[in-house]
Amino acid sequence: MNNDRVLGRLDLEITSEPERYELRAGPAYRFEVDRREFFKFLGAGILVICAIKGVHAQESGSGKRPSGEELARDIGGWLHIGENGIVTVYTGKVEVGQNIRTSLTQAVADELFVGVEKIQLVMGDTQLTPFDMGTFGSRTTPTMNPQLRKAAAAARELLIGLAAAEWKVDRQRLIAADGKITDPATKRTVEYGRLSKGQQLTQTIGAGDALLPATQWKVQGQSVGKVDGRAFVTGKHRYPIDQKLPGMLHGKILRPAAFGATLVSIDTQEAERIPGATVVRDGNFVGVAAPSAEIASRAVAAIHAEWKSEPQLA
Amino acid sequence: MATVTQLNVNGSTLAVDADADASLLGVLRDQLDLTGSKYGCGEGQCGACTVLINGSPRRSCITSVGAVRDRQITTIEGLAAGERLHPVQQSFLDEAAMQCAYCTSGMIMTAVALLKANPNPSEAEIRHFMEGNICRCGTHPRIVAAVRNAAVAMKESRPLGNARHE
Repeated sequence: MNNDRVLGRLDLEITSEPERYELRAGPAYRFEVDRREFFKFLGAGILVICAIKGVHAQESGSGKRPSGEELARDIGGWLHIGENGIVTVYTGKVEVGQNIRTSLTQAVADELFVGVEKIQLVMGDTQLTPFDMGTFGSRTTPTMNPQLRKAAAAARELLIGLAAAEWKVDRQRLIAADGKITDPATKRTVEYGRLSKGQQLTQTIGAGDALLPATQWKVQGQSVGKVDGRAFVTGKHRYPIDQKLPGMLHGKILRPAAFGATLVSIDTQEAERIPGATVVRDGNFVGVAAPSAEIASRAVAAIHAEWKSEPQLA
Repeated sequence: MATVTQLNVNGSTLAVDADADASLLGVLRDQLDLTGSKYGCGEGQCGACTVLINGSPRRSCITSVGAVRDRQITTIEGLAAGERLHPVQQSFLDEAAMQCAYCTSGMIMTAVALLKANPNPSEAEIRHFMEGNICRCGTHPRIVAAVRNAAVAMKESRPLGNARHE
């Protein structure tokens, strides 16, 4: 990401100590995951990586692999079929009520010929899922859906190929359905999860893989129950606000009374005396970190601040 | 300041350690890890934090633990009988009466209280009783349908006498 890119700009006169972001300091941390390290943890099974551009991996033919960073940037999603037959799909998109956990599950179910109950999605986990610009602009269905379908279709073709090799038959006569490959001539079947035989088989795919025409969809276009719906009606689903992590702190921001207000004076002594509370100040920004939301709220309320504001536009 | 050391939640007496004026929602979520009740507005205006106090819907974010120390508190986690969902939970699921579902716990708790007081509400009565619960996704028509269906399901199951509904 280019840190100098200006997405929008307000012409505000800075009348006091500038805040750190205004000095265009670089980010305080750098997020990086070694994808190959991560893939090791997935264990045995079949891994299909969907590369959006993937030019280095796909076209050089020289065996040159993309660097970790190129790999991370080019990947749209990946899916893993474990030896237990569970399909785990990784995407940077997040479920926020638009029901894409269900619709993307349906997409994978159709292309991979596997029941929705065998598919689980890992979404927007910055440690486990591919980089994604974000979930916005109704882009999930036009972009992520076909990417995951391609990954699922590639996985299906890989599985058919593995079964054909094992049975020494022409792949054309094999059928993928209901999480299994079947040879109608001999009535032999093998479950997807059993085809990897303890190895981790990896395939990277690019654009251009054939997808099922919509007329052959069986799951998409149908009304299926909300995936994880039961967790929502029983209160078990954990939203971000419900998560508790070791050493986690809660933050509260002291809001000025008016747009563009600047601090004239501030007294944080009382707030700092509250056990556990830490007052953070950066220019006109004032906030509190504390071990619980309740303590953070009390600490923010204990800050005495005087603000100066210009007349506001009506 | 007076301290509350135990609460009766979902049929069990549970140990807590809270000032009497601490919010019930905060104690449920932070001390008892019952995070099904949601923090929405923190001002009793949205209904996401609704729990039942002796069977009546209350906004737990503006209810102090001191005020409910001797009461029966029911949260969304206490509705199902083991694996068997409460008819209102089942009905919300069947109707897909949710998108993000952040309001769902509070909606279900309010609906449970409504059907206890009025087992056969009209659509107007459902809308009136539920109007303090806000859904920003806009699933209200499905929520109304879910409550009506739950009323029918509960009426049908009642003669069997197997329900342990609050």
